[in-house]
Amino acid sequence: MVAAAWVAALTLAPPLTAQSGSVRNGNAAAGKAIFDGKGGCSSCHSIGDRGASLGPDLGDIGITRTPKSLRLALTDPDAEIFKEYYTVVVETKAGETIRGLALNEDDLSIQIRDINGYPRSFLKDDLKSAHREQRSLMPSYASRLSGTEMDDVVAYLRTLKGPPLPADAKRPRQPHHAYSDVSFLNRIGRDAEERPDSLVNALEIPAGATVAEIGSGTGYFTWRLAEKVGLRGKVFAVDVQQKMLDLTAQAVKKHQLSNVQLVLGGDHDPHLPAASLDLVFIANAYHEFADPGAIIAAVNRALKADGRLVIIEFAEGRPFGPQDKAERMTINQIRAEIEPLGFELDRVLELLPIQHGLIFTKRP
Amino acid sequence: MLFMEALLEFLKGAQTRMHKWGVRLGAAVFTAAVVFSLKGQAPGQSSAPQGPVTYERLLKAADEPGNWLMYSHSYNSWRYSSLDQINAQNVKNLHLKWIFQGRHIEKFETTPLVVNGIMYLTRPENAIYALDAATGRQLWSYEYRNPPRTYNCCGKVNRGLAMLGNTLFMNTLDMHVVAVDARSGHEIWKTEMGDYTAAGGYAAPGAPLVVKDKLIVGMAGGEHGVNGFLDAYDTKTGARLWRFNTIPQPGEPNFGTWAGDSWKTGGVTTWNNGSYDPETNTLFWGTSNPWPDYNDDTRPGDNLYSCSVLALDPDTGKLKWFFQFTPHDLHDWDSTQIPILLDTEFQGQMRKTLAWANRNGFYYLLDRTNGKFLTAKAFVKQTWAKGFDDNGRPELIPGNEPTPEGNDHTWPGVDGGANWMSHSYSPLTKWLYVFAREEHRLFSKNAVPHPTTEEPDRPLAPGALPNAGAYDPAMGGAKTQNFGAPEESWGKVIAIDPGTGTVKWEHRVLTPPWGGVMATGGNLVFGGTLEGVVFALNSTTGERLWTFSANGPVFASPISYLANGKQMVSIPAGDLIVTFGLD
Repeated sequence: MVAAAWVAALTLAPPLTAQSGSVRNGNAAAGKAIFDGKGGCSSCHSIGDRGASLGPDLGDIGITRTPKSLRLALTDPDAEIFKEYYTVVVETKAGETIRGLALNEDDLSIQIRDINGYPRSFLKDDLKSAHREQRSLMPSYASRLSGTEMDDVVAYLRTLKGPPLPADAKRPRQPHHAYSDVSFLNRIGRDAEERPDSLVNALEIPAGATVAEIGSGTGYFTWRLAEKVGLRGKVFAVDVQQKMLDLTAQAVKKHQLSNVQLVLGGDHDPHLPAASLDLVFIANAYHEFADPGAIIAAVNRALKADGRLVIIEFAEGRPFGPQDKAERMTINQIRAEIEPLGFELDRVLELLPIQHGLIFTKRP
Repeated sequence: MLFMEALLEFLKGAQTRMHKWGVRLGAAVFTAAVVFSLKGQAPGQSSAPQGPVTYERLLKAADEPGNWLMYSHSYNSWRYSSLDQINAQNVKNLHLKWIFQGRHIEKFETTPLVVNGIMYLTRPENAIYALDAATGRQLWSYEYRNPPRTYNCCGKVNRGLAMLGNTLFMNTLDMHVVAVDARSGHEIWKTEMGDYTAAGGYAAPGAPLVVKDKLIVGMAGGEHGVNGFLDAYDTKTGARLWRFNTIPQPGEPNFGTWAGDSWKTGGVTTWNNGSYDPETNTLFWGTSNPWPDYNDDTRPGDNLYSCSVLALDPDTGKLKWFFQFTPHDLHDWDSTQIPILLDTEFQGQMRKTLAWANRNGFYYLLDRTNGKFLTAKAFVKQTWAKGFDDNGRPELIPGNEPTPEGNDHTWPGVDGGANWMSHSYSPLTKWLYVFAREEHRLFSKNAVPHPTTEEPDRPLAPGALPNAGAYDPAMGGAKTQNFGAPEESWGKVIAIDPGTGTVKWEHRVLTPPWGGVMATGGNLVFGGTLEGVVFALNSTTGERLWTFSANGPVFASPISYLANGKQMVSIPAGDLIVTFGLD
């Protein structure tokens, strides 16, 4: 039932350049030494419950920022700063200028944490000015650390992936049946809820990549992935329901794409070629796999050494999304099931309003 | 005076005793107060009429500045107190007199009533408290129990009471109206307006309005596919007397401004309070957005009577005229602001007008005798209309429609330039005061919730600009901090010349507000910010003369009244009612 032509198609894909998610050339131990010592990072940043509180906590910075973004933060701290960390500059009528981070404010007063970490409050009547600058209090390390040292710090930060998973993180429930409500998949407003274009862009899939989507459904993501990989790339659209594959085929046809291969998957095997995929994409489908362990093990075998696995699930505990808890998962539930099968969490996407988006890489 | 002092002593102890023996003793206390008030001066009153709140008293409510007899103080909805003991000269001495603690996770959005020294207020979800207006000490309480799940869009809130005779009236979140004896807190009757679970959910969080012997009651639910109406009930029995369908039904005039069957689920609710003009016997009431809010695929057309003001005959519920501010709304710009009736000079002529600072960002002046459009002028930054035709229909600027992934460049934002919070008109300055909101937010074309979505759709998803001022009990009721850039969102109290729409002054505050304003005869404008800064401004200049840091978000509008002959100003902040006086 799986078409045989795909192997030939794969060989056309050119070698891929390094992606943002795969820079791993620093020394994490050396990076930690710089973080705690020469860099002085720990005098402002905490890691989990340990350390200072002026800057943002870095306990899970390794999965919320890409290496590229971490490096940018070191050389140009203002480039991607969150609004909470804008510098507040307060100038008193007595002539004192204090810089810090915003703690609170109303029309009468303003509260900041100064650069020494002390909370301070000022009546606006006593101030000459108070304003927020779109800059970080953090110094740039562009001239303080060498390129290698910066790589080491980035490598160390990449190891910070949040607290260890609790032992009971796995789903207590049984996998759900295969989803067949097409009207839900075609619902008005799905774009706003799932932001498909922003999501596919955020994956930074290079043109020419080979991608598999498991649970292609109505082809909602399939055609977007196929457009992204381009003519030299290829998308395997896998579904266990022929009805869904037919709908995927319609979506692909509608967008006049010819680089999608339909694959009827099995409950225990997605029928994917070995060691050939750059990315496997599973959206709103993992929770209903009949045999998730077998499927993810097969995904691991199908991915290249530097391949990535993307899992999108409706987030447990958010006010929107399906009401049925069996159709929602927590980040920890996803991690607890995926990581033991030869994966590590590389990044958590923060652009999805009501879903979790997790990118895994293969454990070396 | 001895008798009065004894009574007050008795009142002070009443709460403890009631705790022990329930509300019956509280009722006895109140009966004592009423008997007392008939004989002489009530604790909170000097010269105003005593006894039951008759319709005649409601008609002349403005002549009883010591009392606050209805939501907007008077039928013209000026929310103006002519009291002047507290004034621009001495307001600097204003200080806290008492606090009433709601002890509830939900914030107050209520406007209390004050009658003859007793304050009646609603506490979330649907409780009524009677307090001594001089001290805040509780006299009795009544609790209406809602089912655990109600279909309120924006908090389990209630905005206040109406009163006629000795009866208080309250709408409930599960779509009932209750009548409660103001002397005892005992329920007199209870009427179901409709099935609160139908069509995704109905609720009634607003305050009702008494007109003659009728109770006018609105409803909410425009985040779902409801079918809106405005009801009138018999104040004696609770029987429904008329219902006006805010979406014309087949056979009614103006049917057919909705494509296909979209009228059946078109929303158009009536969730705030209205106004009444006794001279022309006309009831004015604003209507909400059409549904789906941000997605118009199924509802081409003007979608009457959404985002409109209705002029109705209160005796029959018949429509006299309507004016639609925002035809075919796409931004949830309800026209549920409180209608303000005033006579003003327009182009050299005195006119009977309706002044309306609308959620869509424009101030409108209409002829209230016929609904004719006179003028409109933006009072906040707006990007969606280049002007108006002679009938007041806006000429749209393209590119302001919600988009699938979100349009964040449309001003004003989803919560509008104005919202439900009261504006105020001062006959002293002849200006209208509006606590306006300046912001843009994310408009996503995501309005049709899928069948399994539990919550109504609200544009609060990540990617939206900071939802400045979300009420967060986890923060001790304080708002979560607004990290929005100062040029992206702020609030302002403005004074508008009603005849021209010209802004005479502006007092800027940090954050777009959720509180209303009240002008007084002391040349003051009172209000409170989202951070809980209660303020008094000079109503002539806008200068800030006094502040108090309540540190709980103000989601309501102030009132003023007399207690023991002394002027008090009261305003909810978070789950507290804070009341101020001079000495």
